[in-house]
Amino acid sequence: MSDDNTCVTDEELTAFLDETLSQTDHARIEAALAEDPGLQRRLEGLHLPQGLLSRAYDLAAMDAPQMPAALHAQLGSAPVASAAHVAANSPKAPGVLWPLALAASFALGMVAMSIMQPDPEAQLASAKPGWVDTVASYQALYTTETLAGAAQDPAASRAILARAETLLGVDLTAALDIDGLSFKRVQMLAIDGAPLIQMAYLDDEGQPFAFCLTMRNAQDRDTLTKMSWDLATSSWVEDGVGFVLVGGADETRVGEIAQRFRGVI
Amino acid sequence: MSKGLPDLFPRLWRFCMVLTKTRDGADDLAQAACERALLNAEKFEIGTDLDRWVFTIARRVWLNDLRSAKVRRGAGLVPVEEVDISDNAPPTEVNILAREVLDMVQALPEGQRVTTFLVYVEGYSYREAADMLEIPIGTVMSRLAGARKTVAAKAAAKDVVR
Repeated sequence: MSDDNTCVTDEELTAFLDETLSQTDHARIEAALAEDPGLQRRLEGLHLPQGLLSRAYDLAAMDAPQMPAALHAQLGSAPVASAAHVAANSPKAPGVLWPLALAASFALGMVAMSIMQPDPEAQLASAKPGWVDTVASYQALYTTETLAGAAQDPAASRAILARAETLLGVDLTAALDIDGLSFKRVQMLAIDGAPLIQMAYLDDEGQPFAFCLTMRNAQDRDTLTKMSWDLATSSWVEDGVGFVLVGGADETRVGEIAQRFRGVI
Repeated sequence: MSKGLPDLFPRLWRFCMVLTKTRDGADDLAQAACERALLNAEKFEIGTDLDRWVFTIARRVWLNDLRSAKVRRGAGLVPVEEVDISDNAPPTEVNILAREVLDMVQALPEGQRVTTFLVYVEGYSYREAADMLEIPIGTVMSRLAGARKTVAAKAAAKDVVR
């Protein structure tokens, strides 16, 4: 059994972790992993702490500067002709407005492209890799103590949920009351520059769970349950929103609880 | 997504930081890339992403001009502990771990480091990263696998993650 799986390359395992494989290949690797502990160890040997990585390169934490004034001045004196030809209908902007004209032109160009060239492959490729793993890597830092005293003011929870509904179009009120989980708090985080809503829970045994959702520019997909960061995850994508439940180490159980969420949201 | 060069600048600078590993180097490279972009503005293809175009320019400027000059000055190799990234984040446990991860990624070979940044931090697809780096998609996957392996081993050794 394991001999067959030596032909699974690290590149394939990487693509598996990044969720960029075709459904057929994904299922093939999943089946191989289920029967080969050696392959599981190789997969674990490729884990990237993506939550920490995102945090490490946070623009504010790095103190990334704004564009220097000297460059702003150069932008103002740049030839307007190049901006004019990309947006023929734009009124000719004075030099100082050139950056705005250029920005508008690029925006128009991209809108035009999206209308003229619908590209299913590009749409598929734009699915950001590894978002489930990013959530799991963050959740891996949680312990019972993290949430034990974390009772959130109900009004604060409602306010964040209302904001979440505005941003993602999903009413999460029913997620406050899931059988088997005790809701602790909801937070607004971010991933790839998009808002990520994290609802945190403890189960009856004090195990932390998180239910997260964020915008995903990807095709709908049904529930996928897998281990990530030694945590069970169950995720799906629906109407441009990615959902994931993560917690504990029991894939069957997290899959069942995920169905409870799907049933009420 | 892109609203022009000023909006893009902080992300461009961060990309330059990944390439050069120093703040001064990132300042110089980001400025040079913007100037090159402005000079070549008429070559920008409508309907393509400004960020990818400018990132590609930055990488070319780095490869063709600045990196060689830096190596000639004897500054080509920056020890990990000297990686020059200010740390504005409060020293919580998570931020300290994040800093460890940052050092691990910044210590990767340039190809792996840049590819890891584009895919896992910027969120570009394999295909987009391959196009920007002007390499085959298979090379992107090899670099990511290599980077994952190195970082995972270091993280396990340092007990950054379990």
